[in-house]
Amino acid sequence: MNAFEYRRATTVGHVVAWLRDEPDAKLLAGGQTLLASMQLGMAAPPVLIDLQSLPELQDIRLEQDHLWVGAMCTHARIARLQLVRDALPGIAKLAGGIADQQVRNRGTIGGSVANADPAACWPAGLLASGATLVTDRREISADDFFQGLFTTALAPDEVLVGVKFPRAGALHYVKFEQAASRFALVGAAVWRGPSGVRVALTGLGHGITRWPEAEAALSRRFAPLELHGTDFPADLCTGDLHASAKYRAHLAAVLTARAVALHQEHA
Amino acid sequence: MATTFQGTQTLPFPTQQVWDALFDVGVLRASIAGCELLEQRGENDYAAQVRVSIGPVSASFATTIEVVDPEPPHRCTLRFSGKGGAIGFGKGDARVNLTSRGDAETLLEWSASTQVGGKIAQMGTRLIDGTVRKMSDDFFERFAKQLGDSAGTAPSPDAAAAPTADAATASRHRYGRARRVWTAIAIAVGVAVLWLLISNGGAR
Amino acid sequence: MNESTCAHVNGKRVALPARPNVTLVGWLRDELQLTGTHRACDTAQCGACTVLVEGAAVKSCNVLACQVSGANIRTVEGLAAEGGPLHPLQRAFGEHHALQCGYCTSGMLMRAAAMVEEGVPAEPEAVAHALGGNICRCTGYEGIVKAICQGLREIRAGKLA
Repeated sequence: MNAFEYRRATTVGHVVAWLRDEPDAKLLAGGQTLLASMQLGMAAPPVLIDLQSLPELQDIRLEQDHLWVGAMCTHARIARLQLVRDALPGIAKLAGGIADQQVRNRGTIGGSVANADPAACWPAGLLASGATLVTDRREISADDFFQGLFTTALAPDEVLVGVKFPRAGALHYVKFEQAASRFALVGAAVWRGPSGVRVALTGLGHGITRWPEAEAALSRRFAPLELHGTDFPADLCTGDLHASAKYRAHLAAVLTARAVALHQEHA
Repeated sequence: MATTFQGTQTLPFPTQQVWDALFDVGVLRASIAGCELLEQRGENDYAAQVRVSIGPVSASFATTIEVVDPEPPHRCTLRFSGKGGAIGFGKGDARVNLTSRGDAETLLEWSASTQVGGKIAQMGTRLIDGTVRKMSDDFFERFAKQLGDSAGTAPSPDAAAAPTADAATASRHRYGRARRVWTAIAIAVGVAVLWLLISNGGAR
Repeated sequence: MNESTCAHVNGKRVALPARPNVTLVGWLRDELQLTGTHRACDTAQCGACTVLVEGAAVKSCNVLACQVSGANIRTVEGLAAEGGPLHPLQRAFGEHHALQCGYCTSGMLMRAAAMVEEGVPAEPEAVAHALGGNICRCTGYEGIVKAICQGLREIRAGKLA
């Protein structure tokens, strides 16, 4: 692992200032992606800014119309907190299904979302829920935040502070794991609420995406059969060692249908 | 592990202009994000250093390129090889075709056959396709912008700032310039592939 | 030493390394000579390096030592007292042939130790699922799962933990 300068921030202002002064600095959240990359020699940032001592990023609380989850909350904590399990069980379940317990104990929602891995679970959950991302300077809708492969709307010196999940509606997320890496080969998040149906897919290869055709079909009739015979466009999927584009496209439909079935089971 | 990639771009410019731009070192440097170095080492040999930063990965790639069989202004083949040190390697061929569609439009088709090995092939397979597409999209977006900006004949600031050696070679060999351009495209493709290689697949 | 420059390892206060680019497993093994924690893949996949930080199982190859300043860390060396009886999990691993080469074992034990607090049921399916972050190449897992089920039962029944 390369030599680097380690800084522990105590205010968000510090973080922003440091990011401006050191353009090659990297934020250290849970480190579950960053540290492994550094161990593999795939990244060598000269400065790491540790976010663990920012109390405002650790908060989880229920507000009138949303659940606030601080960016530094670990997947494990979000999964086990009764507050989350009661208010938004689909979110707690998504968190509890990420990777394995050891990774969940360190990995954070903020780190996952800011990284925007094209096979990560949180971005799909946020996009389907129509969540709002809150930074040190503004609020961004999930639709505007996720912009493709590892690409978000965050400016280079911008810090994600937390996520607002709407309390209305329900989310169900189903993924098919690639057996070795435990990443989602494909994952489908279906949210149903007062404003309609939202479907977000992960693992297809080019970044998190909504699926408008499925949303339209499910708005007409909310039932798994509505997706029968409809695959996600295969030319928008990637093929690799693990699955062909066509397989992913078909899997997307299958998993979306299963998520819809879960909604019906829990209605 | 061998893979092929391809893509097409429709550029609203005449073919000769696209060809010339592709061989303009300044245009290429501006089109390849993170390009730190682009130089000619021999008649048909080029070297480039490109820093690629996507997601958690940030690394500098040393690439060599050999231009083979240029047929201006329509096609060329590039043989590239990239080394990422302990991370692994990537090599392959890229073919580029320009087809005129009337006076003011060109269809650019590219295809690359690549072989990757080492750590990157182990860890990053799931990200390869997506990263190649993203990097080539980025490249062509920048390239098209460069074409649009320099639609006049005045040289772009980047071209003016090109090292003397490049400029001298360019004036001496028209095909040499072309090769540099193609080289850069191949570099972009090669780097994109290399990039994939370094993407970490296992951690969160 | 203050809390920002030390951590507590198996109950003992120890100074953290001066350099930040040291992983927790590197610090434990190379500087503290606590070689019970194993480095196998070193890329956060196999779980052989699992230790407890504030009671939570973590992959110590994927954590920096300086991140856990002031924290309580427990390694396999901290399961049983020096010269004392084996921890119920260790004893169960022996009884159920839950190890062959031993490389994954300390990681398995520490992962299992965390399962008590997590409330993982002492049932094969639940334990196997909870072991998702730990790989074994030798045993086929059956002995490991049985041993952990027995260990969890004994710990919860009040036997020495």
